[in-house]
Order: sequence, then C-alpha cells, then structure tokens
Amino acid sequence: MSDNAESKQKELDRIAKELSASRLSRRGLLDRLKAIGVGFGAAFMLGAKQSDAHNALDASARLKSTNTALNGIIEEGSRAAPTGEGESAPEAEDRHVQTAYRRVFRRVYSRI
Amino acid sequence: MLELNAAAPDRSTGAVMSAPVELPIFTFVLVKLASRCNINCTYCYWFRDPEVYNKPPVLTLEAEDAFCARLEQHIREFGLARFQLVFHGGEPLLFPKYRFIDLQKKLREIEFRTGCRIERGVTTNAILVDEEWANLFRTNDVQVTVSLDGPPEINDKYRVDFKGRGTIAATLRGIDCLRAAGIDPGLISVCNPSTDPERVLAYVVEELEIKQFDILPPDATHSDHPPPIADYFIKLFDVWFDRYAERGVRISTLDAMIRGLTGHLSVSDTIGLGPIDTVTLMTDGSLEALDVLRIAGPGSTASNLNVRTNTLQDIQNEPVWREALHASTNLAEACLACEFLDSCGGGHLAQRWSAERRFDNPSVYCESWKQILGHIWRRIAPTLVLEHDVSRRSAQKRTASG
Repeated sequence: MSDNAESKQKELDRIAKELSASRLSRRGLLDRLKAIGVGFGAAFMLGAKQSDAHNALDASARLKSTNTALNGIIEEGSRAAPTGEGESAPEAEDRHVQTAYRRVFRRVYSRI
Repeated sequence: MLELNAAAPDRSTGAVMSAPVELPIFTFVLVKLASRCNINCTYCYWFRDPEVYNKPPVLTLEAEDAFCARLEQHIREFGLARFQLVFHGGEPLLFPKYRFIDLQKKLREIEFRTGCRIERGVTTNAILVDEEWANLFRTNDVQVTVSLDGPPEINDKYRVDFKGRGTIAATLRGIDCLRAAGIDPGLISVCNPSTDPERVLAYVVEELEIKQFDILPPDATHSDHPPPIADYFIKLFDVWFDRYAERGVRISTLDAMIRGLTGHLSVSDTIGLGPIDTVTLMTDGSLEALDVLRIAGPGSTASNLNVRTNTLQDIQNEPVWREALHASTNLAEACLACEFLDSCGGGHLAQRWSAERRFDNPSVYCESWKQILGHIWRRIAPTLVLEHDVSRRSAQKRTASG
C-alpha cells in the first residue's frame, strides 16, 4: 500500500471510530472524506465531482448499518436501483451521469 | 440558479455535476385514464390547473390506440425488455371496464409481439373497486395502490366527496374487494402535519395490516406557505424505528431519506438527488411533463405534443419537460451549501416552485427537511459502518503502473 493509501486508510479508520461513537455530524463526515479525496453519496454516484478535490478522488466510501432493518433498506436499493440497474460508484476516470437512474414516480406504492 | 456543472463554485459538499444529464430512453409512462375524480380531496394538486377540465373525462379511444402504437414503436426502436405503466387520474376507475379490458388486451399483444414485459400499476381511491375490477387487476397482473390518509378521523378531514362527506368507508369496502380477489394493495397517504403519525402507523399496520406503504408531504409551492412537516416526520421516524422497523414495516419516504443519508441513491421523487423525467399521457393523447407540476397553476404543464403526431421521445424537446429535467439536477444556490444536498436533492420538484423564481428555490419544506434529516442522522449514526475501497483502488493503481 502506498503512503498515500496508507494515510487515507488511517484517516478512514479514525472517521469510522468517530462515526460509531456518534461524534461525527454528517457535515463532518462529508468534509473529512472530501479532505482525503474519497467520494461519497448520491451526488458522487450520479457523476458529481468535487471541484477542488476532483483529481484526487480515487476512492469511494459508503455506509452500512449494524441495524438489520436499516441495512435491509440500504442493501435492497443497492442490489436493484429503482429502474432495475444496479447502483455502483463510477470509476474515478469514467465518472459521468448515470442516465439509467432516475427518481421514480411515487404516487404509487411501487412494487412494480 | 447555480447549475451543477464544473463551472459552479465549490460548496462544502463539493457536489457539482461534472457532465450534463444525458437525455433518457423512457421506460415509464404515467397514463391518465381519467381527468376527473369521483371525490374532492381538499389538497389535490391535479385540479389546481383547471385546464384538466378542458381534457376529455377519460382517455379517448383514438388517444389510446395512438399511444399503444407509439409504445410499441418505442419498445422496438430501443429494444426494451421492460416497460412500466401506471394508470392514474383523477380517478382512473372512472375509465369504463370494457375499455380497460380492451386496453389490457392491446398491451398483452404488444408484449407478445415485442417480447417486452409491460408492468402495470394503478393508483386509486378504491371507492369504485368491486369484484369485477378486482378480478380485472388480478388477471392482468396490475399492482394496486390505494390512496388513504389514515384512520377515519384523519382521512375524512380532507378526503371528502363533493358534499363534504368522508370517503373512508367506501375506500375500505374497495380494499376488502381487492383482498377477496387475492390482491394485497399498497397504500399511499398524504401527511396532515397537525395529526399524530403514531395513530396513522398504528391504523395502517395494526388495523389494515399493510406493512409497506408511503406517507407523502402535502403538495405545496412557495405561494402556499404550508405548515412545517418536521415534527410530523420526526415522530413518524421515531415511532417507525423504535417499534415497527424490525417487524418489516417499510415507508418509502423514510427509505429514501435513510438511503440518501447513508450515501446511496434515492428511491423516490419525494426526496433525494437525481433526474426527474416522468412523462404523462393525458386523456386527449397529449404528452406532458410530471403531472404534479400542475401545482404551478393554469397551463403550467401544457404542451403541443400528442401521441397522434409525436413519439414518446419527442417530449424531450418540450420546454416544460426540459425545464423539469434541468431543474431536478440543478439545484438552488442555497442547496449547494447544504450538508443534506445529496440526501434531499431539493425535495420534490413541485415543492420548489415559486412564480418569481420558478424552480430556482429550495423546497418549500427546506427547513423541515433539514430538521428531519438531521434527526434521522443522529438516530442512525451509531449503527453506521464505513466501507471504502481505498485498498482495492490502490492495488489497481499499482497493477496499472506496472
């Protein structure tokens, strides 16, 4: 592992600890990930870039939950995005808007 | 409005789109089988644009045939294996049964000829559901969603008939018919912020025995000055999380917020970041943008396109549809500085509307969403585990560099 990756790894470990200790706001999480060039969130997955850290965005992070119900919600959507396409973070070098994804019409309880 | 593109200034989230949204190939159409309704809900967005009264009461046969031809053409052109239709209104069951049977036959024939699976859903107040309708839905594999706001004292406050009488008894009869036919309906409710969400949850889960449903914020624009929804949704989340989550109860709007907060894509147009590209087929065959945008007032979604003369994809040249798509991925400046940008996405597009700035606003519920999302974050954060791919990416880089 390169020095850069190692330092990122250490910082991510610190972030994870603070998160589990409820010492990290969402703002804090976003800022800390951004500072080490790690992409996170729907904006990143949809092709957003972080303007000042764009070139350094060579990794991505995501959250899971130890709560079964919460993790079910998180995982279900990850296995099949609303239009049936899987959700995944784009590669840093090929980050573009994923047109297959859209916010689905919700005036129906969509099990279809 | 600041566009989410590379030229936009950095914000604390740094979230700015690096590329314009490519125009989509449609796989979903909202089909208005009826432009009228058999009840008179006080909050309904549909009739806020009175132009619906200039449309035929139900989908005309000419429009239906033209739509089916366009749909088949579209499926063939793009080689689609799956397409979704949601039958909607007004009240879609004002559409005659014999016409509904014919329409399903036409859709089955398209499926047979193209090999494309056409998934169907309907959203109804269920008042007109009888054994015959229920069997039609079952035999045609139509997923049914019933609109109902909660127990009688809540539902019947706003969901009233044209004489101001509550409608829940008739809706419950419809649900019984559906169940007798073996259909387990979904349910959508509109929240009334002055009521108790705990009562709604208890009613839906314990009394109606429905475990998967949605509760939507009331449709409103910046002209409406709606009451805040924060207290309602915060309590809704707490009651759900503490008592119902582990029982498998799911509420789509809460799902969307949880997914957004944890860095995943939203599953809803109610809240979350992502493109809105809904196409609406009106009863005269005209093609319009997302129907809820009618909330902006007379003529707000009017278009010159019609399936008789236009393909489905043609709506991508229609100004209102284009504006909606553009606005859904280009948020107001205030949003770009928000820590909940990617989990909120400006809320529902219609709720960003003002006559002065059009969609260049945060949600009319912005302050509420911030409180709600902040609360949910604080509740779920202790359970969250951070996963990342630093090691994998690092290894890939080393391999690539030889």
